[in-house]
Amino acid sequence: MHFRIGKLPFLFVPFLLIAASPVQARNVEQTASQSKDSGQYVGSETCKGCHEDIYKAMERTSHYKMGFQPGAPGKGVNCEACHGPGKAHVEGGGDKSKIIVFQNLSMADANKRCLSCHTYGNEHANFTRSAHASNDIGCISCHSPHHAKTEKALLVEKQPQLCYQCHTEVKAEFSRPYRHRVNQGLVQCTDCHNEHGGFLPRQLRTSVAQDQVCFKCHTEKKGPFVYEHLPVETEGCTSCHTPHGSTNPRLLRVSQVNLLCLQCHTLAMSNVPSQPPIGPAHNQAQKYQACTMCHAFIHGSNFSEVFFKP
Amino acid sequence: MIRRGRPADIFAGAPVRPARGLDRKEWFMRKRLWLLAALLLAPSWALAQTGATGTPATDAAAAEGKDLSDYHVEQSIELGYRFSEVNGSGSMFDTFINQHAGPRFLDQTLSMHSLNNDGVLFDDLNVSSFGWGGDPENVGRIGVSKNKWYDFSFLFRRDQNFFDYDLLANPLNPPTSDPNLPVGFSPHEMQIRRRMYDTGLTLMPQSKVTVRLGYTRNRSEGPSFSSFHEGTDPLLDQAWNVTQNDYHFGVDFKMLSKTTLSYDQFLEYDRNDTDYALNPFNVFLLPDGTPVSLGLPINSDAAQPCTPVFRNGFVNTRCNGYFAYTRNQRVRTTTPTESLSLQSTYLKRVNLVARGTYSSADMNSPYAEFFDGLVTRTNERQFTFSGPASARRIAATADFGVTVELTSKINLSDNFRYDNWHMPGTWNSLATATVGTGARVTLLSPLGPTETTMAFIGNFLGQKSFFNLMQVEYLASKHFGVNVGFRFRHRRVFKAEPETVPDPESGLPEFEGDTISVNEYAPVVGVWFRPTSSLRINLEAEATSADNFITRISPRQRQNYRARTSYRPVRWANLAGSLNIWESRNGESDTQFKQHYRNLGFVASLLPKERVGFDVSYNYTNALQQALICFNFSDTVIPVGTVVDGCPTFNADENNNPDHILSTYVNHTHYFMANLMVKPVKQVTAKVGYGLTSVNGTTTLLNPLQPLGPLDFTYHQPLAELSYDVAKYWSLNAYWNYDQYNEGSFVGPTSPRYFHDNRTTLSVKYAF
Repeated sequence: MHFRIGKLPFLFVPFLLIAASPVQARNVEQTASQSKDSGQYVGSETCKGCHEDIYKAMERTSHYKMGFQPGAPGKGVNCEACHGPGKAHVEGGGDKSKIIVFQNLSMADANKRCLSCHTYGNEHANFTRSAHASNDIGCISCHSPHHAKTEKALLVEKQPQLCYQCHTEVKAEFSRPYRHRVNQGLVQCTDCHNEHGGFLPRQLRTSVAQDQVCFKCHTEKKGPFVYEHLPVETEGCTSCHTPHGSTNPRLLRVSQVNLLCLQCHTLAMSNVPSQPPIGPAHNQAQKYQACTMCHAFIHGSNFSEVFFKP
Repeated sequence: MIRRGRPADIFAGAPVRPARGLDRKEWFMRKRLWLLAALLLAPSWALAQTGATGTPATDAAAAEGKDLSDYHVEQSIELGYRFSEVNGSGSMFDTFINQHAGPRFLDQTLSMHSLNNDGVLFDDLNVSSFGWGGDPENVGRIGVSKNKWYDFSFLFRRDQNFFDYDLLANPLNPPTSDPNLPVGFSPHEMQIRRRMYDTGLTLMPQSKVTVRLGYTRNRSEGPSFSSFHEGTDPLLDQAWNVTQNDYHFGVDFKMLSKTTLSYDQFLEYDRNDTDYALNPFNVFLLPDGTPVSLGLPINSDAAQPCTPVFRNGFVNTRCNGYFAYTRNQRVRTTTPTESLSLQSTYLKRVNLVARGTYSSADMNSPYAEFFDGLVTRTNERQFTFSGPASARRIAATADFGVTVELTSKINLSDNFRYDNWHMPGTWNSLATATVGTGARVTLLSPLGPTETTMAFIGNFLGQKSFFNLMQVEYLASKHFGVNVGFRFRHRRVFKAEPETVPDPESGLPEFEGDTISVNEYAPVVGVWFRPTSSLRINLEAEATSADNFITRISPRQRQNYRARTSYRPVRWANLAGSLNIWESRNGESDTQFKQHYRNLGFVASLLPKERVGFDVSYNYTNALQQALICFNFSDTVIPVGTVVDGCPTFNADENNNPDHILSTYVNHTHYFMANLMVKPVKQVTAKVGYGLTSVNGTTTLLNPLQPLGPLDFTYHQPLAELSYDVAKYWSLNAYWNYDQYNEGSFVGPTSPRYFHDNRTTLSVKYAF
């Protein structure tokens, strides 16, 4: 696609005329607890007088731009949009009890302040129901408007080190020989997981077509196929693979492929009632040592019921 | 000192920014700035990333930036050369690391921020990339935005995915075979390059109507191997060629306060043009001088591909063999997806999200396959398969989530998801089979008559499911909270195939199928403690029980227990620990499936002074997977219908002496990592570190030639780094990495997998 930055497509001009109206500033919502009396605000330049280092750090962030929103109470309310009106704090000689200090808030209250603006979009929509929120991991656990190490998303630490600070087992998994290249910077935790929560367990994302997120990169496994390998669709990729990292090739759950296959494909007296998979009659000890040497297209096939062909 | 008064008084005398309207000097400064940005954008991108093994960007020369014209600019670039020496298995080194010698464009960053948020084309520009010049991972990122008007992002990733673990899909040709021809590589080796492009543009991000555009491209290509079974198992050249293009249009409407209505349209186009051809592996001559490929498995004891394999120095003409083989397909899949979502906090104390999606994928693929050789089982000398296949995936989902703040301490939340997909597929096949002539058909037999067969094959797989998770959360204080919930999930899977005998009335094959329904019930509970601001403890537990199962290894009972703690006793010390236990069971008498994943680990980071830092981590994992299986392991034949330990015999044509065992896989993995950083003087930073992964375990031995392989190895990874700030903005860096992979079990009838390597990277970095 060709984007011509600086010249907007004709089709979107009507939308832009509506959107660029002065009322757009209403999108900078103020929480109920904040005063709408502009007289209580002193402006960010006042805050800078005592908190110059913090102010300078924030100047390069996207929050700083909010001070240029026309119509917001007062002029340049960057600091006070989060910390509340500052007049009493200034007049109290820097009295911390007269200003909102996030370290003194509960995580839930701190989250509310962030979500009062960052409430739009699917990315944050499920945060209150997320595993992070349920475990008292809030916005300021990972983000910092003043001391961020990354410009994008204002994270206190880069991925994946940020995630490793709590998810220590994942750090070990990504160091195994067969792994997704997270430590090498090719893949990020947020490529597969929505850190702010989602509709699926483990905060997993989905593909565009609401299928498993694995298919975003592993497109040839996606199908649809005439002959589906049933567990791929019903149980998911993790029925055979460990997605972070494994000591086994192809990130399999076991070291020997035949063992994995036989644990499902076994003919027993009271087998799974539906159908095959029956067990193979192959002599495992002498030949047929590798199931996938013959059943090479095990994720699905259009031309072979036994997955010999693609 | 706190200065009181009005802002204007406080800042009287502060520097005044230049007024709008540029003089000549200003104009030239801006032009230089655009040229600088263009030069850095044009050729390559580098990402400021410290994750790449052996090539982290040093913090010693931290960029402070310069104010150029109306922009604050920070930039860094690191160029270097890598020396690489590998001993042992080059294939294993390439599979795990794949970093070879050569010059490298290691790292690059550029950021530009408008000082007054009034840039001409942009307010913020970020460009970063790493890994250019031959490393297996290359990533580049661009972010450009102008406040209120647009936000543009571009991500490029290139991955050189080399895989050759020689035990995977290996036939393990026994040394007792005559001839003895071990396969020293993986028949499913891959050398695939994947290039991924992700582009996103958001127009008017802060307005009532926001438009989002996106384009994603995923291209995988490269040589690889595959295999196939018909007669013998030939090695095939698999020319991997897969492309995906996604187009995205979305619009957000924020007309109502605190409410967003979004519509998204996705168009996904997938293309798979991977072709296959016979690889000239294990090619030998027939008595008339014609070359023939005998395939991968050479096991004369098991008559693979025949016995004897050679007669008088030439291939036994009664062998299974391949003269030629080709396979072509052109898979085309189109997937439009529509999504409508609503998100609102309009009602006080209520957070509401709802989304519905509909997706309809259409796959079509012509197919052509040709074989020339001999299949002794059917006496075929040639066959072809062709015909179009088509399949669809129609999926509809509905998601709903709501959180209600009942009181200031109690929240009630519910999360519901409905998912319905079904996948019908058909294949109209046209097959021709040509047998050889003569009483005993051989590789040299002339072609006989050709039989043509046409068939219609259909299949159907579908699943309807929904789950609901309801939770009550009690926030007692900022020090303690608990949440209790219940999750219910229902799934109904339907799989159908057409009957072989058509319906007498319609003349069409009817579908017969099976339905499996599974209901799962799972109470969940979680508790968190924050006794102090520096200590946090989380505990979670859930227990799932199901009334049925889809596959033998689908658990009917599953428990998960998680505990995490983090402690920061002082500002310079971070300690964290975790315990994670997964237990799964399916206690059916002829299954006895059991699986567990138990993990314990801790991390400690200490930075008592700016010039000294230490971090260490340890992790232990115990994994188990076991189930009853029936399998054959000998050629002994017993009467059909005999049941041995619950394993029925198969049929008289096959070896039918099944063994009934409890197959087991047990894995103990230890991971240890430690790093020490020191700055003896301000200009010098040194770091030494050590990483170790050690694995041992046991598994059921299905074949005596199969070594433990990845179930018994150690992987050592020491490293060292040195950085010297030679001048303002300039630093010299040296990185050393050593890797050693060693398996403890025997090698097996393939190539050894031990390797060790030394990699040294020397670089110069310029950053301001």
